[in-house]
Amino acid sequence: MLETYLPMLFIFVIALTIGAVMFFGGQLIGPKNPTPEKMMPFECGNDSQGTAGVRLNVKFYLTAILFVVFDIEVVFIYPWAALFKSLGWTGFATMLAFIAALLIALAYCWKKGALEWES
Amino acid sequence: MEQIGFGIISACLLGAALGVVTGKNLVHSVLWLAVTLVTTAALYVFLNATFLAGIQVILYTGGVITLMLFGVMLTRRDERVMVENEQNGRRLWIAALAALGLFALLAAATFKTPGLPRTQAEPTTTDAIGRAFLTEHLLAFEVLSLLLLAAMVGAIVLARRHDAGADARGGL
Amino acid sequence: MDAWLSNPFVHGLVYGVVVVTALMTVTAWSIWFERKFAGRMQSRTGPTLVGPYGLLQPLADALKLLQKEDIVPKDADRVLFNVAPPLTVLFALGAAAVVPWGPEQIAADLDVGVLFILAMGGMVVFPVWIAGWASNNKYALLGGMRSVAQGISYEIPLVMAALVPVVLCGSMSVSDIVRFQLEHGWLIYSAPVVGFLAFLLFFLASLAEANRIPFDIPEAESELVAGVTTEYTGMKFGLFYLAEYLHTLVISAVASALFLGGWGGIGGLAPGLHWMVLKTLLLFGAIFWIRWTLLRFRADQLMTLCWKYLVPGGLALVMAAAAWVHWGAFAGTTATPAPAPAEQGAR
Repeated sequence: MLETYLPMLFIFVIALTIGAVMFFGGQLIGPKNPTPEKMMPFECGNDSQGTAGVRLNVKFYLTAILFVVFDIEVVFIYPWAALFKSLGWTGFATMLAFIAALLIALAYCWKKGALEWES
Repeated sequence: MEQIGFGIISACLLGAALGVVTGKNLVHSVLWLAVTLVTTAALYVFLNATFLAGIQVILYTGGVITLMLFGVMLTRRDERVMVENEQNGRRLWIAALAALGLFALLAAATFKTPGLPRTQAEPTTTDAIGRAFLTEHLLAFEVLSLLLLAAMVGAIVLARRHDAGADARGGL
Repeated sequence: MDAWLSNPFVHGLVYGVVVVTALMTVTAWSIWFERKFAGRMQSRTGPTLVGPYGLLQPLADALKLLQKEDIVPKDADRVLFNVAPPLTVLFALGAAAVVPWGPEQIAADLDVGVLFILAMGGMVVFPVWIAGWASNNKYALLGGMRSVAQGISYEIPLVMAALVPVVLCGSMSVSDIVRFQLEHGWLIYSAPVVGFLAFLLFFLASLAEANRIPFDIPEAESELVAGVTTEYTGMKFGLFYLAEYLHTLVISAVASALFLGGWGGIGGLAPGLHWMVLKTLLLFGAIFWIRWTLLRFRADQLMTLCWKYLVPGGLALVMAAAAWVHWGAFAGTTATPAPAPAEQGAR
């Protein structure tokens, strides 16, 4: 347990430490001279128009839903894949059915235009 | 040694969970929830359920949190989404009672269920999980795929209807 | 000495320091290499002034970034704005923990190593989104949203592509997959078409997740200023930059382990570690080559490519791999390494 996870933990800690050191180093060494213009949101030199709260396309949300559904299905294939060799025909057929459901879902999305981003 | 690790992770988990419920900014709450889910995955690792931990991070943190963030982005009206955490007495009491009841229920269920690991369990191999999926719980496994299919259809129907509305325009 | 080294804490610390230092060093000088490489491709000379052949350029860059003013824009979410850059570095490096650099040189040999890599890949989108949201800048926010949409979309083909080695080798542990390849030949050729296509799919999806050209939509400087990094200055910007290269390096290593036989070399010419490093660096170089050759996709083309071509293709690949195992080539080789060689004629 310890032997397995300690190196991993140390990699995380060291990565974060390096990030933090570079971060604070920059804050320590760099000059500080804030002016109102400098603190404005950058919009190519113009004054900022409105807020950053632009209304976002519902497509983003749809993509997230598609992702969740597909991800769940694909991740459930993993345990099957790991022991696939010992399952024989039944395992193969079971997974075919599972993947068929996934394909139907994809076909439905395609048909309904949920995969179109151009509009 | 493992006790110390468990203690640290549990403390992080509780802290993050507190962050979720006390935060005034909805986005902060969602991000604290992400931390909560990741630390829960760490607890699974302590129980030697590595596959479950991996799934937890990929599906919940990667998928569900993204979904929530996008949901917040879609529905927000002003610059920063604030939620009012009203500290008025009656609601606080009701909430506390509900939380306590839920806790008692879960605790009772946990202690009554035989065979739950109290400390580090035997490693649950992925092999065993896969075998259970494909033999014992085969029907549930296949029904799951249909359930997901239904969820997807529902999502698309809702999103498309919204799309037809006037304010569907937005940046890509 | 030995007893002291085998203390899990010391052992872990040594591993962590060595792995992170090596990756950081390679990354720093890969930036020099890329600038030289790009220069040569465009009939320039690249950096020449700082040190011989411009070799000290990364140090000069780091010093320059350190001296820049740190600006947090008005109305930005200060905490999240500052947390995002170190987090990107963490998630970019994370997957390196389960990459086997040699038969013994593996930090954490998880039995679900492949899942861990995918999980880390999935987490990378969060710091980027946080950066975009916390900046309180339209362009940064759009960049962040695009980045997440792209990241989660390409996660699907990535998961499918990584499924192919798991099906072929019957294990989710990265070191087991490498050992299987030592036995049966690298997956890229031992499962002829399937292995190669899966490698391509994995590589493409990884590039997309690391936001490299041709998939660098979140940055898209011609339309979104600098995407999520618009408001970042000095070292904070440097951290994003560093994380992008680190991530690219780590995925090169992962792809080498999963598809190119990991530490397996040709004819035992050198220890395993050398081969692994060589393969990783070659792939890493190939990514630069792609970057300076291709153009950027449009955001909608990117999503179309993913959902209409890569996802169905990935599913087909998984089934093809299963059929390949089922009807012959690697059948019955999980538990006992069978002496029978892979039958190429079975297809």
